[in-house]
Amino acid sequence: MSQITILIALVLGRFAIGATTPDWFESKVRPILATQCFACHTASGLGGLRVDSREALLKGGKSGPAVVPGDPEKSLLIAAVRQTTALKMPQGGKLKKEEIDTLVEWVKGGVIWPVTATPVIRTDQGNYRTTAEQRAFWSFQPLKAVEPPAVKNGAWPRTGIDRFILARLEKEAMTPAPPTDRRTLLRRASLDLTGLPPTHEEVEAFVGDKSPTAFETAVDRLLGSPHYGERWGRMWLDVARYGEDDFRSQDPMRLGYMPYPFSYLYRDWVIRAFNEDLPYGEFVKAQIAADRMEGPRVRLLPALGFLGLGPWYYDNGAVEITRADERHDRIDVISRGFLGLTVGCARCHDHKYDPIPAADYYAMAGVFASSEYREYPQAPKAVVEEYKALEKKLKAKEDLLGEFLRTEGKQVSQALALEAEKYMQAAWRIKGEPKQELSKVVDEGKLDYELMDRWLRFLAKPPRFYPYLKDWQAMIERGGTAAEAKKLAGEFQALLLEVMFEKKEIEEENEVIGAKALEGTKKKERRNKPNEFVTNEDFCPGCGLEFKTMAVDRTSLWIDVFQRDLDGSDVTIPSRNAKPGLLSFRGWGLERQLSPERRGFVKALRDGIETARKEMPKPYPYVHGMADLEKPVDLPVSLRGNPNNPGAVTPRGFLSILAPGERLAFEKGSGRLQMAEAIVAQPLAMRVIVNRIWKGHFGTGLVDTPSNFGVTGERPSHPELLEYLAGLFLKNGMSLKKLHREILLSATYQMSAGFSQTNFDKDAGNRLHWRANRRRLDAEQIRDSMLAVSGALDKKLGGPSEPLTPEGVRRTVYAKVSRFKLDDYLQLFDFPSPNLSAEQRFTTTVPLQRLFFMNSDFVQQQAELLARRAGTEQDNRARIGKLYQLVFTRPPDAQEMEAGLEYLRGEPLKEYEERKQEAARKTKEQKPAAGMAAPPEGEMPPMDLEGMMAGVVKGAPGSQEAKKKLLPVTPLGRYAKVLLTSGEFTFLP
Amino acid sequence: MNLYPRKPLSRREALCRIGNGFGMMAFASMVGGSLARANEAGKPHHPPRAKRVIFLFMNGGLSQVDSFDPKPALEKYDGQPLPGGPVATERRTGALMRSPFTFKKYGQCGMDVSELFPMLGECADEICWIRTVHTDIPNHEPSLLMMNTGFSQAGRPSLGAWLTYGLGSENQNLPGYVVLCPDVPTSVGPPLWSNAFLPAVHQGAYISSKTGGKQTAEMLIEPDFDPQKLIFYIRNDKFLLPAQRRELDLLTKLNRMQMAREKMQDPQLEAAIASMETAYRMQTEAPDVFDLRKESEATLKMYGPGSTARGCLMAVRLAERGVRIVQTYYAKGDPWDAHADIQAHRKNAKDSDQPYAAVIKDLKARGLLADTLVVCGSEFGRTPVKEVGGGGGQTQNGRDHNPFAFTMWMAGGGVKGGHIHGATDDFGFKVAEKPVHVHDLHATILHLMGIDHTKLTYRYSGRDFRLTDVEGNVLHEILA
Repeated sequence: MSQITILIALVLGRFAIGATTPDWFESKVRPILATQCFACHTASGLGGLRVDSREALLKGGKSGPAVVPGDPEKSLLIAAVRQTTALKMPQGGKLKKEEIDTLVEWVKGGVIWPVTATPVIRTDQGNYRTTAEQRAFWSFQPLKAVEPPAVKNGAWPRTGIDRFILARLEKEAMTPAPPTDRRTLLRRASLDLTGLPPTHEEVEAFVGDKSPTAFETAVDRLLGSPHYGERWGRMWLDVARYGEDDFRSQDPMRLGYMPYPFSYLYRDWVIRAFNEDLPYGEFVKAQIAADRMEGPRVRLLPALGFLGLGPWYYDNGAVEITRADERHDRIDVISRGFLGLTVGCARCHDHKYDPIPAADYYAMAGVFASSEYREYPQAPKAVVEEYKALEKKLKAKEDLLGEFLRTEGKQVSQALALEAEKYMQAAWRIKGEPKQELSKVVDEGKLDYELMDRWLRFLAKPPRFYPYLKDWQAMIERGGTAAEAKKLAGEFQALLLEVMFEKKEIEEENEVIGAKALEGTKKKERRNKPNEFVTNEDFCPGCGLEFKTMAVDRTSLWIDVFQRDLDGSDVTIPSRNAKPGLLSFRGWGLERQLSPERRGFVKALRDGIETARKEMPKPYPYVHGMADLEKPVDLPVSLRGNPNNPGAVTPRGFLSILAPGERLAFEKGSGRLQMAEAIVAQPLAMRVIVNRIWKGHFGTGLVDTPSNFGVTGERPSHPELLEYLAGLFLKNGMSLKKLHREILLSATYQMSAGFSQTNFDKDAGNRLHWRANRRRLDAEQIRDSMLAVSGALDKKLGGPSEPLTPEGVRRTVYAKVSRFKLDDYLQLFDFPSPNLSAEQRFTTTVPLQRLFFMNSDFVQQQAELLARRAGTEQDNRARIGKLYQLVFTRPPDAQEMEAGLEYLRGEPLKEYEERKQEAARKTKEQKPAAGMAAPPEGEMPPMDLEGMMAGVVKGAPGSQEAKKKLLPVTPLGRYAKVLLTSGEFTFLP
Repeated sequence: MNLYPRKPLSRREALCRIGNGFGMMAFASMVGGSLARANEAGKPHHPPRAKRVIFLFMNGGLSQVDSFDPKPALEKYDGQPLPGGPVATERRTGALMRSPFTFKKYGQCGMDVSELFPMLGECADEICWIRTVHTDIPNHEPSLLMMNTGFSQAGRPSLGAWLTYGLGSENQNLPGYVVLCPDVPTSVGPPLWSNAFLPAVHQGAYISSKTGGKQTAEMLIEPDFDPQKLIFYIRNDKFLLPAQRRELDLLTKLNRMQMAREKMQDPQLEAAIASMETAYRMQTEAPDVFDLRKESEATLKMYGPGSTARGCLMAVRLAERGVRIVQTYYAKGDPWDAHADIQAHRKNAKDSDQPYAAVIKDLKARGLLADTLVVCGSEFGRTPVKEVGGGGGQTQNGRDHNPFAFTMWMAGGGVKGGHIHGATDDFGFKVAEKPVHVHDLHATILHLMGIDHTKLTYRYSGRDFRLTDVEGNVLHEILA
């Protein structure tokens, strides 16, 4: 254990950040200088001082050198910010204590100023100029033609990659780890390229293939497998923040979110693009502007899901800000995803580190302000039109029925109001002096039982909301006469009619008010599209209007009689599930009141709707995409990022640092296609994608901040190798498959994970690739691997997403990806948040993951299926052998065999004993409440959970069907589960 | 030699991804508790005043002028238009409207509390009342998100996630962040307790505090109450713990064999083995905390009946066992949203006054109040003017959303009791003095927990994120 502790301490030591690192300078010091000092002490050089380089600080200004490295007490800069002498900086303010401390520490540490970090300088009052230094930053340079370097150990390298890697190792006097064994190599390559483990047969064939090109053959086979796209397409979907819904606040569908039913078209397009090795340039262009590309677009259009699938923020906030937030997402995902530039940082101010002025941000934002959400049907026009026509017909029928019933309801209420006097007098006969039988009164008066019942209850209500029944109730109380009752009933009926007509008039007036003011706004409907939220009225239709109302008492009476029952609660607005008002009838209650002819009419309408529903074809699929607005717009810069605070209008265009001269302006439509073309032309874009692929294979990137190639990002560990790969990539027609192949065939890829203390001491993080990185499998690999070895995996490609359930057997890439509520399983195993572009997966190790392995129905089920595959063997020894073959594609060694045998030997008997003991303990401890009795011995209690986390996390009740499909737990299954959850199975070797 | 320090992975992040917060308890125990040096980084930024938080959320929007911020001017100008014209909120509003509730002074601090909250009033001297909280947008969703995640759109980590990320949990056998409500609260739901891009372990564990049994108004606890039904980490009911023990022993043995065979030194695999043991213990210890039957009759009575009361008592029990933050929502949906009639507050207050007061009293009795921070309030307040026109012309005496000023209160760990902070204008519409933005509230909560809100950052997506973004000032005035 102690050795491990030391090891961990060493590993952790890597992350220590001190006052002398570039990181620390960039995150702590530069922001202070940039925000507090640069305004006066760069180009303007007030007081003769510049503070934007170490040299300038050492040279100092009129008062002498600004800093003495290592000695804060003697440094003028420190005295100035401490404001202990006459020189007080910054003018008119004072730094926070922490900020002063930071500067002191910085000076004490020797005034480090990383050479590559060039400051951004503003000159000429808002005219933004990039300096020559900024333009010289490594990632903005043209691709360099580089040749693989010479190495001492000429026997080791297999490819150009290896020479770069080895040269660097040799420089540090390090040696690469020996090659890994062939079984491990194939396991690594299979999991890496397809996300699935190799079968025993595949391993045997590979190990037996003595040809020198055996691995090449295997790699080609894997790259040719359709499962390659399922694995690597998902890598891109992380970057593309692929999600299948968005949180929507004013939630007319009552789901909490807005689903994008055909989002999978984009996912499948990405998978297909990888499988077909679509040249990367086309891959990029299609995702940004497939609708604007020349030639047949049908196969490219689904790519627009990259933009069309959101995130959209609907009505989740103030309209202007919300729309700006959406544009921000597009800028962020495009700039970081394709270019490794954090353009999003320039939303509120010029980028603090990279040469990206806010004006560039708004030049890009204009492109998205000029584009809108658009659905592209993926079906022939005739099909679409037929569907729409049928849908319209159905809706017309539904509207007709609704309208008819509403009108009838009103008429019934009105008619019944005219009978108020009659029913009140009848009520007097029952509750008043005569005290007659209810049935007698109803029968004699030919009254309606239910209505009479309602009246009796209504008349007895305490007068909480209006005073109109007080007299009546007093009369009943004191035993009033029939004449008195008749008089009061007559008066009440008159009042009801009066209120009814007043309400009607007001409603008509309100309709006029509503119609007038709502002009041009979109009605809030179940399926409002993301582009249907433009004004505040769209956000809350009618909220800005002042409607007329009756007096409070009269409104309450109207509600109580004609709408919903005002009962127990304190409020004058009844709840949705309150009983109907006195004279209000809906549904069957209403239809009962109708004449037979009308009832017949309603039935005919209902039947018609039912038939129309049945006749509706399946909804045709459509791409959630984008289109240009008719009239493109240019946006003003939002000062401090506030859209309500506009600055100068910026023409649509590209990042100025990436253009040789003036900023490239976009004039064709929104400019999306031009933007895409400009991106693909960038060497930077090549570096970024090549680095993503590298990181995907090795776990660390050559630049390990794969979406940040700017000043605050990492410098490449092997700059020349990155140039080499990017150059090769271009030469190979931007083929990703050729790039994979180049990487996999390298000796670097084929190393073992073997440990070397010497190497470890020099490079604990393995950034120089002296061995292979061992990695825990990610969420998809874990689940898919288990399904693969259990034999349950359904290898069908593509199609609509499905929720992850214990009985689900499709690959994990086809699981629903919700922005509203990410699946628990995916979340637990570090699936990235689909709200933001994710540059990499992290790996956490938490107890809940173990609970999932130990208790989930999914893992148990796979283990039982696996056990069945081995169960037919003759004895435990053979069964264990078979399980090892299936799970690890190798035989167990003697120790492992013994451990397995011992486990299985003890199992059944022990379990029986324990169950007996436990049962005895339970009966003693507590008597289970009725209906909750413990399940009988040996029987599996029903599970009440759904989802992959069933058995681990409490969730919605599971379906009965699902329960039936689960296999019973067996000792061999539990043994198989141990193998499935072992380190050997759950780590990438 | 430090060839390439990996930029986005700070030491703290590295620890977080392995363990459970940079409190490091989990990680230290996983590798033998001998990481004293690394643990330095895991300490809070300054000595904390509170170790845990209970956040009582009155979802929907409590009206401040009907509860904790009386405005005599409303009596006087009842029915008259707001001087200076209407203020835009979510919906159309009309004349000023007096509160239908009477106020009374409580405690030595003389806090005015309306008849809605008499029992909370009795605790006035324990409570720090903040009358000037304000937020940005007069709609539930952005304001709920702001109050919970510091940002108006979904997709950021919640306050609770930040807290466990920063501090870990004191009890490794329970989730560090628990959210209680009988049914999913608010019109937002899960995004309010999301870990977003923080490691998954920091997600709030939502637990439905209903068990499905029939409840009546008098019943303190249903006869068929079963804590097992509530639990998040349920036991494997297919076989028994001793059997599972043998599984784990075999698994550990096999893992060790592999490590020996391949001469492997892998902290990840070590951590995985250690987390197995933690997981095993969780199964037995977690159910206990939800078993309210273990509380005395007197305690149950102190909280009273109802699901809000149960949520409050569970919150205290969870806090007692070291859960870092518990949020108890009043009930599902937006029940405090009294657009139509402010009288709707009466029922809500009846359900919450007693249990909220009980939380303070009970924490005190258990000796936990001094280092437990209780926070209570809504996503925004309500307008002093009445709403007109909404609801198809049937609105009677309701109030619209008011993001400009509303009252929240805190009690316990590190805040002044009997303190009234800030003042609103004559009608209680906007802040008159000492505004407290939600960011300031967050900064203060983090401060009380020993965290400098400007330093609790997470590098993701190419930038450092903070709960308070670039805002937030600690309210030093309210600190005890």
